[in-house]
Amino acid sequence: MTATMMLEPRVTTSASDPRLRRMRRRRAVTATLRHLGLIALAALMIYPLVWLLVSSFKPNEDIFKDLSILTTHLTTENYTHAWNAQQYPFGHYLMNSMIISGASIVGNLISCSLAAYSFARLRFRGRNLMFAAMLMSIMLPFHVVLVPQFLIFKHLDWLNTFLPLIVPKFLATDAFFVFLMVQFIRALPKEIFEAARIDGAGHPRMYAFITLPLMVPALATTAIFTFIWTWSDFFGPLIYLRKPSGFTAAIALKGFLDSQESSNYGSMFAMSIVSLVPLFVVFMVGQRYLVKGFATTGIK
Amino acid sequence: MSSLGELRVLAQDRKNARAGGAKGTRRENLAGYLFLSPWIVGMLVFTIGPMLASLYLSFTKYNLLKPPQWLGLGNYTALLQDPVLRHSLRVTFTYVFVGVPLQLAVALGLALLLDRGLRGMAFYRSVFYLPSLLGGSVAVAILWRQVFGKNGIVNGALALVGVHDAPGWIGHPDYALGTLIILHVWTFGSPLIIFLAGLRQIPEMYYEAAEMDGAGKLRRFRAITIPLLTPIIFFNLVLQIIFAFQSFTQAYIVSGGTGGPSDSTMFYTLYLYRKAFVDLQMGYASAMAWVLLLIIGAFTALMFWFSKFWVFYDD
Amino acid sequence: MLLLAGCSSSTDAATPTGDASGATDAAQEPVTLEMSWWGNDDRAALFDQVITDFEAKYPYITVTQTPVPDPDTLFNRLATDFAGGGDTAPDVFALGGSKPQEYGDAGALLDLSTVADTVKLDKYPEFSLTNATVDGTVYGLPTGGNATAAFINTDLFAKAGVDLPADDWTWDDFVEAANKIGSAGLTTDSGAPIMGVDLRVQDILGTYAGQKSEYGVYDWDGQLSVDPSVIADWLQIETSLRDGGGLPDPSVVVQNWNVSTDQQPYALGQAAITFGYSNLIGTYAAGGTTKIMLPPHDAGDSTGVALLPSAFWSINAHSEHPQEAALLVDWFLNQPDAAALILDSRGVPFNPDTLAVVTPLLEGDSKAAAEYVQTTLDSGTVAPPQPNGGANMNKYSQDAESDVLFDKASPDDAAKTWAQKLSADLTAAG
Repeated sequence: MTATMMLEPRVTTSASDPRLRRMRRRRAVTATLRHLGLIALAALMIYPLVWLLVSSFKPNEDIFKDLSILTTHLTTENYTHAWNAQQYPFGHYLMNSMIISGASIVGNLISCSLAAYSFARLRFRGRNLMFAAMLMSIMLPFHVVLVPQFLIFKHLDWLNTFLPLIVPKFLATDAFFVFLMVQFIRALPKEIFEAARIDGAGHPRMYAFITLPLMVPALATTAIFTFIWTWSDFFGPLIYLRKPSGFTAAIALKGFLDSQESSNYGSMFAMSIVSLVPLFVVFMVGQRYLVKGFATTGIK
Repeated sequence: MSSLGELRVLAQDRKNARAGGAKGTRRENLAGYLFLSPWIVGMLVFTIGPMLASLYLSFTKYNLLKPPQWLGLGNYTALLQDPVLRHSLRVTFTYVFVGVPLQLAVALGLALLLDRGLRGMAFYRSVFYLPSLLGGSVAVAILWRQVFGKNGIVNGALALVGVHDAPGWIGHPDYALGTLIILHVWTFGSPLIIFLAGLRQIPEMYYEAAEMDGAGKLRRFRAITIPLLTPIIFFNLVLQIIFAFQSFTQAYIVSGGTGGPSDSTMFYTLYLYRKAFVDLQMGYASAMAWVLLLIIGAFTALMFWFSKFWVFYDD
Repeated sequence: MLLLAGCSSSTDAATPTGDASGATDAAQEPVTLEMSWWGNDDRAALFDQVITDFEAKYPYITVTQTPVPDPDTLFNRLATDFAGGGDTAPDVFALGGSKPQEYGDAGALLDLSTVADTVKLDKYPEFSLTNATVDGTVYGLPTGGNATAAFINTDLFAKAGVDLPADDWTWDDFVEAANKIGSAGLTTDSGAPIMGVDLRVQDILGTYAGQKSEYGVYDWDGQLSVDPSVIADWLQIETSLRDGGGLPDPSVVVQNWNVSTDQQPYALGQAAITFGYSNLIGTYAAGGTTKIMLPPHDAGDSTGVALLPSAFWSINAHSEHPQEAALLVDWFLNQPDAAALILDSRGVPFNPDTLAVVTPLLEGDSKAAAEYVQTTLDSGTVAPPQPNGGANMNKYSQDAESDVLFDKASPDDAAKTWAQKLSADLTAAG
């Protein structure tokens, strides 16, 4: 147990004033260096996005002629044109994406946490085998299961509905998140569960009132990733949502492209920025819950 | 209501359960299956069937258009003699075993740095995550050409330090794979977030207790942070390796789906995709998929076995 | 089943013989057709107009468009549909490459002779249908034809002080001009270096093979026809371009293999010469004043340029409404109203009646391209179609090119590998 491991050494820190001041100064210097490094890295990471943003305000024919992000000739025309360029206003596709992503988040949060609790805290016959089967299911490249899966949804008569994209999420088919939550639950201190058990809590209560609040960071991670992955998924919606009325933003975006002749990159970039906004918002909201784990919930 | 006797019984239960491995009490069995029931339904309806179907197809000749014809082990023996397949394995292994450790090291290092209550942390976190938001978008291919092309940003920087004859990295058979590895490292946002979430979940009381006991920073880091983070490190390692083995989108986008130049970015799954949908040999592709599953499965099993020695679970 | 043949043979848009359809409207059950193709939102808007007219003429038919950005995406979706029995595939879709052969052979496409009363085949020259013909059965109609051409940026030739090539320029002339311009040290306004030739091997190798061998890359039996030495000669030309400065750094050649036309150096004004299909002239002209002409050919050789269908319209064999689907195909290809809208955007029409509508409406670059296509048509050169198993040819050509340009193989060895791989594929598929 960690708690006992760190009990032995007792270093006494009776810092005198000058030492403390020196330490503070050193700390300020290292903090500045750290920030400089991080800012440089941040610039490197963010450059492409800045380029994308600037390009979305350039006239289409200028985008590849002048790749620089320092340009003066900017226009909002891409945005106004692109929003209504397709069969439905772009907002229609955003709404479809939003419905699918929202439902997927709910589905993944419920079903994956249930499964994870079971795998992490319960001993039952066949557990290891099932866990292995779950992992195996994500080891097979999706190209070879695409056709059989398509057949299933076809026989269920779910084509042209959101069901093929949503229902599996309610059945914990995303092994990634199940495994993620398993690891988080297993990292929780066992004393909490022991204490609850002593108080007479059964598994439903331990799941709902102890495990879930304690794994808020993992749930936030799941929500963020689910949103981002379903939002940018292309192949699934393409195969299952066949009518333009059901298209997601990811599919609509490619409607500006023509791989052979000329594409409306300006429009595509503009709507890319538009469809990145919800992603960014979800990320900003979600990440706030990353800091609220155990630290603030607190246990006695 | 709790009593010491009850506690002892419960503790004994747990001990028994653990001693018996996966065998549990009837009550735990029932609870286990109930909690798992959505997953079981999903597995039976949506996952097992397609998996078995692909296994069956791997023993057939199937062009998607006509019914599959039984071939026995034909696809598997053909696999053994396929030079492109061997080559694609080499490319994939390089990508996995260089790209994944690099990406995780960067993500873990930054997570630890960002976790230390740095001012502006939310800002950095968002900025570092942004590249991962772009994901597999078409813009990535365009951007990557700009960064690693002949007249790209990298060569611009090299020219400043006096290197003028640098090739276009993305179009050179010796370096194209390297640029994809860098692209992989560049999208370290996902493991970073998971590491951060893991760090945030470590109970503050451990640190408080340790600080009261006078443990220094380094000691607290080694005795609390690292051990309690090992399950998360393990998770990232296993999943990133699984994903990297299946890496497809980036190579597909950057090479225009060809795996070029000279097959230098011909990832295993890219080759599999070409077999399935370009050459219409779904049977062969299915056999490839199951070989990949065996390879990934073997690595995963090895990692699970090895995890006993370094991953710390409190259960 | 009502016969709707009456309204499709009309060549006179002003006085529709649509009495038959008008009279039967009341008796018609509403029909919805799905139509899939690749292209961008501009094309979607154009087709929308065409479809609106179609729906006005046949009020009981509703057409839903499901466009995708590139052929591969469409073919992947179709393959999935066909694997599932085909009834979920669109009623009408575009095909290209060897797909009409593959799908037709598998029984996934409607035999167009079964709807011959509705959609006329007889106006189409026989060679324009070979790509979509399996064992004498026609499974698709070409949207139009394109021919490989050379594009010359006359501004850049002038800037470099190089004379414009003559119509009968040879490969040596080509190499000389490209090398001169590529070594002149010119740059664009934004500072990008200007290359002699913007080369994508897959766009010209077939033409070169056509000049130097009887049939081209393939013969009429779907076997490899070109001798590896011809491929080696081509790769040799590329090394002289590389060494003479006509080609940019090999890594730049590779980098531009698979970029869409509007991002190619030529279209950005960064190259003096390129090869490509004639219908791309509009996109290429964005790079500067562009002249379209025959690719180089040595004295005594043929031009190697054949008119190739750019895409086909095919009908799903499992469509519930084959007659209506045929009406739609006929509308897109054979009716003057549609032709006046579509013009040559899907290639120059093969149907002479449609062409007669389109030709007077073409202007500028499009007109030049159409004239170029007409000369090709007049020359009568016909190339065997890409057979089953030919799907990887472009990739193998790119492999050979990069092996040679990066000095990883000699032209002879690379050409041998190219021939080996391709004939192995052809044998496996045949």
